[in-house]
Amino acid sequence: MLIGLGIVHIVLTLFAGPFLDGFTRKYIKANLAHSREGPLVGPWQTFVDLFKLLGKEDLFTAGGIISLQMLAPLVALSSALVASLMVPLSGIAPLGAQSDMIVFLYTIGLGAVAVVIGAMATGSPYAYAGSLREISLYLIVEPVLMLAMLGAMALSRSLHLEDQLRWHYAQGFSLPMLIGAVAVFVALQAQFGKLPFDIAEAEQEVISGPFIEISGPRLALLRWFFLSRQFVFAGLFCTVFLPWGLTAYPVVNLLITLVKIFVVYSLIGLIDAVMPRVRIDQALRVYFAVLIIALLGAVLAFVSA
Amino acid sequence: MVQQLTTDTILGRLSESIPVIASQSPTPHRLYIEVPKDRVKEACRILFEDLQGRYTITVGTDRRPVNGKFEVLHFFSFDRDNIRMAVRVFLDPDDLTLESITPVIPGAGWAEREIQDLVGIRVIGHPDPRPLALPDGFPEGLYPLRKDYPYNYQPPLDEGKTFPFKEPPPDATVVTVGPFFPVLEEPSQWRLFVDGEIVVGCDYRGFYNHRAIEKLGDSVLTYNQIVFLAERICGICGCVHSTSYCQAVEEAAGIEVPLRARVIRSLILELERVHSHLLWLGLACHIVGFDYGFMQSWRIREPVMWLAEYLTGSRKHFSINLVGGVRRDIVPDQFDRILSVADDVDRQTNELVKAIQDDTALIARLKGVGIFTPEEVRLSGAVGPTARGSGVAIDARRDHPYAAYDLLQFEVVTHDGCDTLARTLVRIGEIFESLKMIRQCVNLLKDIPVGDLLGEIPEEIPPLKDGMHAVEAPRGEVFHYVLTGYENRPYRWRVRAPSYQNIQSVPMMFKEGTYLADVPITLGSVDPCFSCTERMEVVDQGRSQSYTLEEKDLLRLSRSKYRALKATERK
Amino acid sequence: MENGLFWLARTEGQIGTGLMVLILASVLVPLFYRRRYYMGPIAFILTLIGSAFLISSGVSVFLQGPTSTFHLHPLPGLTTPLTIGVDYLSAVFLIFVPAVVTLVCLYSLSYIENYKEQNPARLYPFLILLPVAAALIVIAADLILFLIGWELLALITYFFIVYRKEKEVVRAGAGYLLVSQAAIVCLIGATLILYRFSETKNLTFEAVGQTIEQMGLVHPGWLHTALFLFLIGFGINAGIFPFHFWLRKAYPSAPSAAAGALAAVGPKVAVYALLRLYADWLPVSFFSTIWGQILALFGGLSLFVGAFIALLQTDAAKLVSCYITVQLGYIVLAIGAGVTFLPISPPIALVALTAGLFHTVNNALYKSLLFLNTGALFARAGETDLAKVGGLMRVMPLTGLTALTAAVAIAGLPPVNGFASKWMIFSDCLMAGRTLPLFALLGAIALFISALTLASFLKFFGSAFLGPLMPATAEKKDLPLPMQVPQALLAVACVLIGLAPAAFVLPLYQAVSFLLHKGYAPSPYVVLGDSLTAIRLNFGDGIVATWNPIPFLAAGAVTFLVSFGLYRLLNPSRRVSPVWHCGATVSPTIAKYHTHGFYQPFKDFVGFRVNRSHARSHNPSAYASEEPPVRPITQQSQPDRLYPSVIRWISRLYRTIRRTRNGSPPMVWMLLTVSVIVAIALYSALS
Repeated sequence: MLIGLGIVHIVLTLFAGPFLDGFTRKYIKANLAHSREGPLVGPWQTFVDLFKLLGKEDLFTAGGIISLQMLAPLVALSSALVASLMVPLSGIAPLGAQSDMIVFLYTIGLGAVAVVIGAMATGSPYAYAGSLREISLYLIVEPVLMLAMLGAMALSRSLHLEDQLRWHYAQGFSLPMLIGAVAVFVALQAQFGKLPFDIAEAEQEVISGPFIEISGPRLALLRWFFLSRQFVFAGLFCTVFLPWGLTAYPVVNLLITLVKIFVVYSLIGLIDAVMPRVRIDQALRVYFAVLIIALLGAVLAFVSA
Repeated sequence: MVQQLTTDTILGRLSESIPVIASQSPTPHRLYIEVPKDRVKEACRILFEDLQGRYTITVGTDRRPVNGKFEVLHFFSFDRDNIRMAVRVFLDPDDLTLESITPVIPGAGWAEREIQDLVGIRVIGHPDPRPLALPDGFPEGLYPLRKDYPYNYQPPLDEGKTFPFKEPPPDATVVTVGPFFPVLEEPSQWRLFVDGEIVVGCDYRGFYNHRAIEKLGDSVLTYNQIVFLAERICGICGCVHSTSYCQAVEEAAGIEVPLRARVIRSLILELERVHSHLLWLGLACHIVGFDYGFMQSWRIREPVMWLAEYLTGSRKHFSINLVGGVRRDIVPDQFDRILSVADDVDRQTNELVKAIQDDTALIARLKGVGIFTPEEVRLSGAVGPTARGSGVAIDARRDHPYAAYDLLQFEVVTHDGCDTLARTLVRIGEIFESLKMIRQCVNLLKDIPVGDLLGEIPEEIPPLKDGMHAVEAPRGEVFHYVLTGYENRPYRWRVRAPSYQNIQSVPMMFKEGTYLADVPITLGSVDPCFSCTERMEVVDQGRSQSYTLEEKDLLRLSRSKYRALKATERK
Repeated sequence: MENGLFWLARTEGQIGTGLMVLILASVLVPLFYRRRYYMGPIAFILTLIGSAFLISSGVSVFLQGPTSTFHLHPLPGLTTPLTIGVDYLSAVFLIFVPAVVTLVCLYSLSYIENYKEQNPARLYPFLILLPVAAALIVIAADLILFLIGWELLALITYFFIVYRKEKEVVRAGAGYLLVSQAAIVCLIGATLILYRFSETKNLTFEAVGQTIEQMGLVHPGWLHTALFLFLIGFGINAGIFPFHFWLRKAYPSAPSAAAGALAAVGPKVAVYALLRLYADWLPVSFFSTIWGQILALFGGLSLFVGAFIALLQTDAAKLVSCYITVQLGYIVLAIGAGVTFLPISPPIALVALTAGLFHTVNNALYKSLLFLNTGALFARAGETDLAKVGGLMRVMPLTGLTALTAAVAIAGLPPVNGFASKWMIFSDCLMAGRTLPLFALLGAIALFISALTLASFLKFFGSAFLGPLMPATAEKKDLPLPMQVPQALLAVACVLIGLAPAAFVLPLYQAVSFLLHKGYAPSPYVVLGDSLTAIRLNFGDGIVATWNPIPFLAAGAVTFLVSFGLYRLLNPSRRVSPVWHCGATVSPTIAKYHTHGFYQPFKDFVGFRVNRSHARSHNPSAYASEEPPVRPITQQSQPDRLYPSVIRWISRLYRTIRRTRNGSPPMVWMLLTVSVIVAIALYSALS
């Protein structure tokens, strides 16, 4: 049964990510914010892009390390998919009993590392600049997520995401978790790679940074990794930090989670559409403030636990 | 309080320390003086430092067919006193060297490098004497702007001769911005030396796309043909070039332009400014990733373009000017639409500006970025909003009135911030000023009786007369110098676009601690127009017929092109 | 003959044989100083044999049980006998230390050729003696032998450091001698205190345990003093904060191979000593809670300080050296948590101690590997400055791959060994934090430092092995086989331990629980789960954390296939094209992303970089209504300057010494004399 659920998770992550992205692109960004028509195929545009990229010529850099360029997108996408198996989208996760919060954080981090190594393996200075921005941001965003999850751990006395979800549902509203949820929501904007924190890619500054030398199917896989990662993070946020709506039926739970994810995507897409990109030093300052808030939440959680 | 200057006081001050060989002052606002070759630098120093003149441009001319000598003109402008002047020096073809004025006036750097490249006058003591305008591998000893160089000659290129870029400092990485970069719409290369995200130095190479427009104007085209070529120097602000050119010729030939034509010129110029500033605002928003501002600003701009098409027949390249006046009238039926568009743009821009000003993240990206001090403005000769954003209130419309600007009420918008935000606010302010002027122009047109649109033009314009005129373009002062020649075509035509000075000043804006992320917006904040600095045009003379392509034709064309590409790829 | 074989089958016999072979080898090898090409292989073979005996002794402890302690002939004038005894904890060190040193010896065969002007006879004997010193420390069952082992280790380290004979190297060596002798003085002082309060005037470990127990009741002040002196002594050897300052000079001075061997020995035996002291000798009591927290604090500070200093490094050897402090920080934090919780919650305590020991073993593997990688940089590029090397993965792919493995391991990413032990430390600290919130904070810091470690080693790997290939190294060949094999073996070990962590954690749990009273430690099958691959932590109220690499990898394999399927879905063509610089031509030397600039915004943000003022708006009054947009210039706050007076004092003393006695070896003895005098003075003061 867990294997079946695992297949559901993988398929869902692979397809819901691009769909939700396409949705926000068309209806939130183009129609609502930009006063323009947007893609003619509506929410399916991201799939069209990915499919088109899958068939394009695959370019490697002559000065780079081809094997790592080749492996990086594959490892990245699979890490996001494995991480999706750890998120209890329907109350239970296929790998929920075999992993915990720390494993989850590191698994999803593995993808980012793969992207960075793949980017550096191309040898392009823009890729380096973008990757290092990504890591600099990661250094301050990751603790936000960690602290919020520490709060969840302290309250639920378990590092397992499923236990945290169940505890939270049984317990109902709690202030530390609310603070954690706020902090994580702000962190999501960076984890999604959306404006105002799409600093790593920043076409206007470092020409898409890590992606600059990556093309064709590998670019598709990398895009897919980012889209999957967005979905996984949104799933984590909606289950662990907004656990209301847990029933005894996994299918119902899954549907409820998807509705919540949809709302979260729309909000993030809206912020993305109406914000300019901040500079990396400004972003660090913003997230430091968020970090303090998250720390407050964690301290509250440890005190009240 | 500095004393009021006139052409006489300037001449007097110069004569105190320099033996002035000759001088002429065709109008109270123009002065040409000739100085000995070895005193040029001193003369320029007096004009620039003692008299606080603004350096405009340097022109090198091959006058050998006329008097057997080469000529160099350094132009200065006294904006407070409405005087433009030139320091002239004649050089013997046997000794083509001239002392550089760049150590005194950094803004002359490019112009002197350009005469070195194109006219072959060696500039002694230039701090950075690298080539500027010629392509990689252009053979030594060939100077395209000399009169013995045919306009259509293509020399064989010397492979392996490349541009000598500066070496980066030891701790820095080279990050090239350009020649092809997402936010540079035209090719130019900024070589940034970065330490992490911090820019510690830079090097520039431009002129990738030099179009030799001046050479065409000097050698092939007639006065009225050049008007339309001048308009095509720039794709965004073409009308300012044609106006400036026409005014220079009119000055040289002594042509009076009728009032109605002058008002129409002003109206069109202001219309152009509105669309250009809105376009810039959108691009600036896009550079910092604020695509909401980008899309909205271009949406607001679109009716301005439609209005331009309605008034002149073309969205861009209005072709409204001719030497002596304008080509078509604006009739009373059109007034309502002009006014309603002005109102709409006014209202919508106001809304957009409010949204922009409330956006703290956007302000944080602009404020304190690209600091450009008033002293640096003077040294680099920067013009337009770039200068006015540093509190330097120079504006050719007010300082050297032309067209109908002496009849219009407007403010010169300035700001003391000296940063990107200040330059943005200046441009935003100018949009509203321009809209005000458009309404005033319409009112003036209502009052002026319909009549001639062209002044009286002599059969043949007298040769070897100097004419210089500037127009305040959206990016700053466009300066055109025309030396009239024989057979109804100019002997020398020199264009100095505002970006020519403004781009030179960009390295000064990369102050210590500039982030890599600040570079595109700093560069964008001077609204660089690379095509203006690179004057070239490709004319397809093989097919003289013209036809209109509709959407379906364009689609068909591009698809067939795509199929052809695919086919060659398969092979 | 039969007797001899029987002796060899016993643990003590194997140890004795191993030590004899190694000591013999260290005497024999310098005899070949004229024939450097024979010296290496002989040294390697003898080290291999000696180490094999040591390793087998360690293994046999786990198979046959710990040896009984037995007394050697006492030294004249001492009432206490020299005693040796091997328990599970010693066995752990007897296994991994000789193994790593042997690999380093193999590596040195080719690596030593990079130091043409130095005779390898000045390196091999000490390399061979390194496991001897380590073995002496871990098999000693009395304090005198234990101290002899420490002194031997200190001398070996010194000779490693001064191998290159250059001026600054000799200076670093002298600095190290001062520091290490200070450590020894502290240890001697602590020993003397224990001796004074020992009723039987006996310094065997058994007696020490009893002495400490009594002192805890009667003379707590003296006990605290002794524990403090021990902590300083071991802390200096471990290189933890605030004794980290010597590492960054000493380790990069030694040849990378020697540094690799040293990294697997020096700080690691300090961990052994800390475990021995706080978990074995110190009875489970109020003292455990206090000293456990002190240890944990030192660990947490080491993490922080080490990682931030490392952020500023652009030299590979220095970067890797800095991470000794950081990694020891994790270990000391874990041990501290364990010791603290011994009286509070045995499961948490045992898991923490096990995690610390597990991390020690893992760290020995990947840290040595990183030093060997650094040596590979030096061998190929003649340079360990990360700013000047680049793209080396194209020259030496296997080394690059091992460096990647080591980087992933030290950064603690799944599924390599570093993750398993770090995960245990994190989980344990976080769960411990529910009782004592200090540990939650330290656990959070540990998590954050883990991200920083990742950043630093991406810098290491990204600068040296990725990016454009520098023209100077472009035509070089791959490394010789003796250098590749040890790296590959270490990398494989890292991966294998990562894949089945439980199989390695269970013996370590046994080693740690053996230190405590019989029956005090809960069953490992309850606390860690009964699987050989998965670790399921259960601190008494259900499983709270799980790391199971096998399903993780299975899922990874499936998703990798899915990704690969997508990649090949439309089967597009491939092409190799040059790096794009916006259409400009840029040579690789200037296009290499300079290491100095890595994470510059972050470094700026945490305020460690100087001279980075950001000129804000030129004319602040233009925006008078708003806050002044001028950012204050970041003040210089370099962690180097934390101990300016100490460093100045040491260097001044050193300069004085240099003036009086030219040359270093006499100084060794002089300093030793000083140490002895200080020790005697201390003793007389005490009694």
